[in-house]
Parts: sequence; C-alpha cells; structure tokens
Amino acid sequence: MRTYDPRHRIKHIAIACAVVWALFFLRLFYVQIVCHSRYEKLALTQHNRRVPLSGVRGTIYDRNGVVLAQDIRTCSVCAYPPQIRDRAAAARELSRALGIPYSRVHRRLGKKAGYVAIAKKISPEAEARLREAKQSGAGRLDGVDLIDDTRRIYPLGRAACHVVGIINPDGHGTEGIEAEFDSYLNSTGGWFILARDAKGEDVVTTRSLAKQPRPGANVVLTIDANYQAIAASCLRRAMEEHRAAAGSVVMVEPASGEILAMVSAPDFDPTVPGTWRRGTLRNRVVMDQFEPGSTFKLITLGAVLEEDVAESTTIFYAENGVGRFGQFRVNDTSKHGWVSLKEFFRVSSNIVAAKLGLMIGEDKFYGYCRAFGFGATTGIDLPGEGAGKLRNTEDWSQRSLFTMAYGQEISVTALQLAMAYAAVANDGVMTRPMLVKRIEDDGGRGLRRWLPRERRRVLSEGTCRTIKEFLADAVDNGTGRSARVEWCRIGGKTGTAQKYSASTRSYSSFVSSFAGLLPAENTRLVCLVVLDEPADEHLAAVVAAPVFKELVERVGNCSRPPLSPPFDRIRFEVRNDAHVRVPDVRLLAEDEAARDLKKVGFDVRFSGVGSRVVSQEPAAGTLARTGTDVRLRLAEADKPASDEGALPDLRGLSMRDALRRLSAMAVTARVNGSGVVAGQSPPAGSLVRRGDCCVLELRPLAAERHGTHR
Amino acid sequence: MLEVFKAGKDKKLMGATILLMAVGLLMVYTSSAGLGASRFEGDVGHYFKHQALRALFAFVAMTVMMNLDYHRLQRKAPWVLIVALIALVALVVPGVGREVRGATRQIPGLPVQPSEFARFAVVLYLSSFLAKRGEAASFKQCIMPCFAVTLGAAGLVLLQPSLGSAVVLVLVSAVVLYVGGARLKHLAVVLGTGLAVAVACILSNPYQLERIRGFLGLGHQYQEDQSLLALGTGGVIGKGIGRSMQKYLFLPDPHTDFVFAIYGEETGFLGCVLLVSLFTFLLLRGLKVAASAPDRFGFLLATGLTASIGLFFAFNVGVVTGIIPTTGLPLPFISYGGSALLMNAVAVGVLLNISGHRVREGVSSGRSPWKRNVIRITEIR
Repeated sequence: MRTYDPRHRIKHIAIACAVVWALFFLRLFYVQIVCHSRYEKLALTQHNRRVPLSGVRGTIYDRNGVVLAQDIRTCSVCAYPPQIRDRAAAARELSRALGIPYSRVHRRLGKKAGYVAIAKKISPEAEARLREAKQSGAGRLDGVDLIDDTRRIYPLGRAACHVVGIINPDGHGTEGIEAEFDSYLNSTGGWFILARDAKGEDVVTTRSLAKQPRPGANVVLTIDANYQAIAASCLRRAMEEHRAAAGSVVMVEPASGEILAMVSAPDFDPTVPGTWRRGTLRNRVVMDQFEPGSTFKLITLGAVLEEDVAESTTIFYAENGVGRFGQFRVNDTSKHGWVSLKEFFRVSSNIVAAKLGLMIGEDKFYGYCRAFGFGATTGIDLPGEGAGKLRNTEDWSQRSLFTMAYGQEISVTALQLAMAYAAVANDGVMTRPMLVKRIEDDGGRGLRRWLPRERRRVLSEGTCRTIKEFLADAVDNGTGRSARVEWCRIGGKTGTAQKYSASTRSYSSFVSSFAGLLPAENTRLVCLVVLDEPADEHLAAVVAAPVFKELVERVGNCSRPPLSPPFDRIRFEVRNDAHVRVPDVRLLAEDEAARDLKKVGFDVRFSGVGSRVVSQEPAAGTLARTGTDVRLRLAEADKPASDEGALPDLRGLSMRDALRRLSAMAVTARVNGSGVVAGQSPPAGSLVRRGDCCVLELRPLAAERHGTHR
Repeated sequence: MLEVFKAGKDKKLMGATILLMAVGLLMVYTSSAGLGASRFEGDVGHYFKHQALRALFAFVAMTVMMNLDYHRLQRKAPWVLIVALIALVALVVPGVGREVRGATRQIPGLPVQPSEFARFAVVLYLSSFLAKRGEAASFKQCIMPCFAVTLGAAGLVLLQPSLGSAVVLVLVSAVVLYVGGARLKHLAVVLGTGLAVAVACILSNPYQLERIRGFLGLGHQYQEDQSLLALGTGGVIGKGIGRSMQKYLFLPDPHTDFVFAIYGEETGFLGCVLLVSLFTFLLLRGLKVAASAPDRFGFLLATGLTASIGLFFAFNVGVVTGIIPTTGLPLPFISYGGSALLMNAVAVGVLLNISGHRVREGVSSGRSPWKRNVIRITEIR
C-alpha cells in the first residue's frame, strides 16, 4: 500500500518550474554577460561579410533640366571563389577582358573567401568584353559576377565645377552643391549578406539579398547651363589673354536673385582627382575677398542720392588729379577740373568719391554698406562663403571713410558685389541670392522649394533710376566704353583696385572688375566679371570690360530666358517670365480675383465651391514667375455676391443640399414633408432677393422611385 | 460586455497571458520586418498583419473557453480525442496534408495543426479518464489505456515527422499521469518506451542525427551558433527594439522558432530574465489554479494544460540558449504562427474557467474537500 498526495506532486512540478527558471537565468547570464565580448567580436567578423550595394546618387539639374551631375550605371566585377571551377582559366579570361595583370587576378581568386572584388567601375568596353567572354567562355567564368555600380558624370566638366562640386571616393560630396546637399543627394546604400551553408562555407543565394538601396533626391539649380558654359569659356579666354592669376564671373537675375551662372578660375576637372588642388578647388565667387575699387562707388553714389547730399547736376572740383585730404593724398588716373555728379561717375574720379564720402558721414556710409549686405554672408547655399571685411566705425582710421568711398579698405566677395548691383537693377530691393530652385525625390515629388525672397529695400526707385542712367552713361561715354554692344543699351561700372600683396607688403598688383546691367533699364541680367592680378594691363576698361562685352554678345545670341524676347521690345511687352509680386485676391469674388491675377500675368486655377476666394497659393506678396498657376480656394461667403439672383433648380436634391444652396443666396426656406426635393416655389430661374422665402416640397425617395416605376 | 471577462477569476494569469501576447506581437513585428521586406516586395508589416489577426482570433477563443464550463469538456473528451486522431491519421494519407519543408503538419483549411490539437485532446482525455477512474488506479485499468493513447498519438505525430512535438506530447502525458497518482515505476515504463522510440527515430533520420551531432560538438550547428551570437551580442540591456542585426537572415526563422534569440539581442539580459520570469509566473499561476481546482478532473486538466505551455517554453528557450539540441518548437504566445497561439490561448481560457470554479463548495480554507483525503493506492501485483 502506498499513499500519494496530489498537492505534494504538484509541488514537485512547481519546483521543476523554479529549477528551469534558475537554469535559464544562469545560462542567460553566462551567454549574455560573461561571454558578451566574445560574441561581439564574432558578430563583427560576421557582419563584415556584408557586401555593400551602392545606390544611385541624386542628379543635379540646371534650371531647364539639363544634367549637371548624374550617376550613370556601370559595373563592378566580383567573384565567388568557391563557385569557380578552373581558377587559372578564369583568371586568364578576366585579365584579358579587364586589362588587369593575370597574377593579381589569380591571387584574388585564390583567397579563401566567399566573395572577392576584382575590379571597380569598369569601362563600358571592358564590360562588353567581359559579358561576351562570359557567354562564350563555356563556364570558365562561372562564379564571376557583374554587380551594378554607379559612376558620376559631369557633362559640363570644368565649366560648372565649382558650383556643382565633387564627391570623394566614398560617395560623399566635398565641394559645392554636392557637399551642401549631400544628405539629400546621397542614396541610402543597401547590402547583401553572404549566407553560410551547413559546411560553414560562404554561399550567395538570391534569397540573401537583405536591403535594397534607395536612390537619392535630385537637386534643381537656378544655373542655366548655356550661360554657365559661355561664362566659363569667356573667363578662360580672358585668363589666358591677360595671364591673370584668378578670375570669377557671376550672373544674377535681379528680380528674383537667381544665380544664372557662377564661374571661378582656376578650375578643376571633377572627374580627374589629380586636378583637385587647394587653389583650383576654391570657388572664388563666394570665398575670395577683394577690395572692389571703383565698382564700389555705386554704394557711395546711392547714399549720396538717397540722402539728398547732392543732385545729379551738383558740381564738384576734382582737384586736377591730385587731392589732399589732411595728410593723405588721393590720385585720379586722369586729370579733371569741375565735374558734375554724373561726370564724376562717368570718369570715375576717386577724389570726388572721397569728397562725397566725407559729405555722407561715417555712420550713414557704414549703414549703407550694411544695407547692401557687405560684411555679412549672403546665405547662398554653398559651403565656405566669405563675409568680406567691413570694420565697425570705431575701428576706422582717419582715412577710412574717404578711402572706402572709392572702394579700398573694404573687402567684399564677388557675390556680394553682384547682389548689390542686382539690388539697384531691381529698383532698390535686395533679394537673397538663389542657387537652388527645388529638391525632388526620384519620383519627381517635391521635397523642398525655394522661392525668391526680398530682403529689404535699400534705395528708392527714383534713386535707382538715376543710378541706372549714370551706369548707362558710364558705358556710353565713360570708362566702360569697351563693354558697349550695339543691340542693347547696357549699364556698367569698371573697377581697378590696388591689391595689397602680403609678400611684398605693397600695393603692387591689381584686381580688375566690371559690373554690368543688361539692359540698363528693365534689367534682366546683372553680371560681374573679376580678374585677379592681370599681368600686363590692369585697367578694368581694358581687361574686364571686354570680357563682359564678349559675354553679353554670346549670351544675347542664345535665345534662352531671361534674355528673350529681344531687348528693344521688352519695355512694351508683358514680361513672360519675370518675377512679379502676387497680388492679394483673398475675399474677392471669383471673377474679380481672376481678372486681377490675369492682369499681372498669372494663370488661375480654382478649387472648392463658393463665391469668394479664401486662400491663395503662392501667398500674397511673394514673388512668382508670370505665367505660373495661382491656386485659389473658393468658399461660401457670408453675404451673396449680388443682391438679386436666379433661383436654381433644386429638384432631386436632398434637403440638406437644397438648404445649403438656398442659404448661400440668403434665401430662407420652408420645408414641407421629408426626403428629396420634389417641387419648389417659386420655380427655378425666377429672380429672388435676399431674405425671400422659397417653399420646398419634399417627398420620400422610395415614393419617388415608386412613382417612376409606375 | 465586461461580464464575459469576469468568468476567469485569476486576473493575474489573464494579465500575464495578455502581456505575453503583446510582447509576441511586438517581437513578430521587429523580427520579421526585414524578412517581410525581402520576401514580399518591401511589405515590412506582412507577418505582423497576419499575426495581429490571429492574436485577435486567439483572444476571442480564450474568452469563449473562459466562459464555457469545463465540466462540459469532460463528457466530450473521447470524441475530441477521436477527432484529433482522425486528423492525425489524415495527415499520413498522401494528398490531404500540406508539406512544408519536408514535413506534413497542416491540413489546408483547418485553423490549427492536428498535432497541436492532439496534445490538447490527449490532455483532456487523460484528465477525464483518470478523474473517472478515481483513486483506484491499477496499471492495467488505468495506466495501460493512458499509455496506449499517448504513445498512439505520439507515434502518429512522429510520422509527420515532428519529433519535438511527439516528445512534448509524451512528457505532458507523463506529467498528467504523475500528478494523477501513477507510480514512478509505471511512469518510468512510459518514459522509457518514449525514449527508446525517440532514439530509434533519431538514429534512423540523418537530419535529426546531424542536429544531435552538432549539439554534441561533432558537427556544424549553424542555427544554434547564430542564435547564441544573437543572444550574446545583446549584452545587459540589448541593442534596443528593432536594432537586431541577426534578424537579417543570419538567423533563419527569426520570427518563429528563434524569436527569443532576436528578443535577447534587442532587449538583452534584463529583457530575457523578465520574459523568462513572466513565463514562470504564468506557469506557477497555472499550477495554483490546478491546486485549488474544485474537482479531480479540473485539477488534472489544469496541470496538463499548464505543463503543455511550460514544456514548449522550456524546450524553446532551452534550444535558443543552447542547452538542448534544436527541436523546432515555437515559443508560446511569442513566436509567429497561428496554430500554437490559438491552442495556447484556448488552454489559458480553460485554466481561467477552472480558476472561476474554485470558490464553490463553500470551503473557507479555499481548498477543495477532495484534496484533504489522502488517497490510497492499492498496489496490484
């Protein structure tokens, strides 16, 4: 006889549970904490056997969709040594197709690994040879694989090198737009994993692909490829002719601040890393700071006219070429006696500029310099932008004020100077320089958009008109004569600045520049040419102005906006693609809003139902190209558009819809019955006034249907 | 509406179950995302969506079972067993079952795998049989029929072939017999026979043999190595949910049998101990339900159902932590798969129903009257 207590036995089971828990606790402790570092190391070696797959980097386009930088498909060759039957034969075929030494391929193939890279980014010809060899090779190249890879091409080459930038071998941008928008352009790479079979050997299966790469976003620039190429070739020719050390050209559309071309020399080839040197990689338009010289007299002139210090007819004594300002002497290149303000600008007299500077006074002059954006970065989307050097008035010496008035003792970047001229061309409103229009993903969906943005008004429109007249006069009759073209009246200013050289500690070399407005009125293009240290001649009238002329001639021949339609007719035409401020049409009636927008040159697209515009896109006050769609959302207004209206046909509508229609007309309703509207009084089309009453006869839907059945 | 949830008295048991199911859903999502993306055209939620639906279904099943008086199961036990055996036999008939990776475990159209259902049926039958026989348990009258049913069902499961399931089936039966009062000698016979069949099966099957050889260090054992690697790289607090590297196909089946390895990699030692403790808590609650069951049938049934969950848990975690060779058993409530989830939820539902019956009979001590009796077993020679 034996006894058993079920409680006892279930206790045994519970104890077993506790034992299992303790066992797992100890085991987990051992595996996860004691052996943690050992497994970490193991995992590292294992995860390193991930084979990376590169994705397609985003494309960089110019404003018209011309490719500036693009990834094109190419091939990399790899091999899976365990799958290769005849190592020697495979190595021979590979070395023949790819042009790599046999011994190196042979050694690679002999590695005890599941995967070896043979060659990266091979040429299309090599790829074709290899594919042919693989087909006709009778299995000798089994285990050799072509992996899709990408190579970046730059169709404009050296011409757009500084703007577009370069990428390093890891595929990350290091210069220009490639660097600035690297996070957008970059693709997220994928990888596949080498699986291991039961024998512990690497195998590659179709299933082992773990992560597909995702392509990067595309960047659309404001650059025009044609203008960029023209600017680059003009600059290169000028650099050779004048044996200049460096140079830069920047073209801006003044109304929007869009940069159409930005060229810097010396340049580099984005596909040849050997040409990437410190000097060549420098984008001088935004990085280099120089003393502008006479081109800066624009700011002096602007301040004088705006502050009413003098009028265009006021005359000044130019001291016959040598002016004394306290203990300092200021020289002019040519001797003049009494000159008017206009003549001063035409002949570019330093002495008069100095006098004007003194008349304006320190604080005001400093204020205008700041207002024109000197001494601060413009915020353009490029890396390494310089701010120039504009000292505070406390740090000015006795000569600072009048020296700055003719553009010495202040350093600026070419972009700042171009934007200052663009502000004058834009009737006194500074805009933010724009280099990127939008970023979109590979499906064309917009991720980010840039709209032209005004920063501030620096001069009145009247002042700007006078300045533009002066600029045109300087080209017609003054220092800028060599920039003149026949088909268009342009405005411009030369600048020959002495350059302080740190090595010789003297002002022995020069910076020659020309800033021009094309045309002088209704300006569509502002262009700045800067040549640094030209060897023989240094006068801007001889060096920089002809470059500008060549540039303008060639740009004028290519019929691309913003320079078409022809200039002689611009003033009388609706500017097809100018930037115009979007008027505020909110709360206007549908037809009024459409009329207002069409008048300025916009197209209109409506959405929603109602009589009043409740919202608009682009918003009121922003700049937009004429011809673009302005989307308006309509909604019901509180009050009807007119006092009297025709009653619509309400039959067949549900009660709710009918009431909504009536309330939109401010007509009260009396409802009889339920269901859908079967009759109305007064009938459809009769004129009703606000506050009138309409009687609706409603009938159930089923009865209606029944009735039609009969 | 809330009335239906009041049937189960043991709120802690229910809470633990729901918590486990939630963790399970989370783990299925994080562990299968990469797999879903590569197999189903980037659909990272593919497995998760399926599993969420099944979890909902399982939860409903649990609620239904919770509100179904378990005594009604007692009368139907033989029929349930017969249905289960028919399903198992049907699998062996060519053309009925669906073959997945060399084993026929499913009948298309049925929500549960026959082997999962058979385990439940065997536990139910044994409980009702032993409860009917009462204290007078002789080898011939009591142990032999149980023996026959268990080994018969296990044999059919073995034919699929599914060695792991068969072993669990035998062990669950052994537990029921043990608490049912079987003598150790008799149990040893049952287990011994089971072991002999299992060994024979392993030796005759090169696939099984390879696993055992790998476990003993004589061959390769890719899954075990990778699973330990996953656990080991988890460290104390893990890499964080969704940060597992191993799930990217280093570990085959990251969402089914080896989900605990991914869990360990992502939540670390702390997370693992928490989950193991949660399971142990659930088992102890199950045993408590058994101990306070109002009658012998409830007692045996509760123990058996708890044991079936517990053995799956122990086998699965044992495999993942490298204590026992690979068996291919899922982790209850956590692993991807609807069949096991459904049957485990049903089991918990029955447990909850049993827990609701314990305060009847008006016994102030909370113990059932029958438990006070010391049952005498006459030894029959």
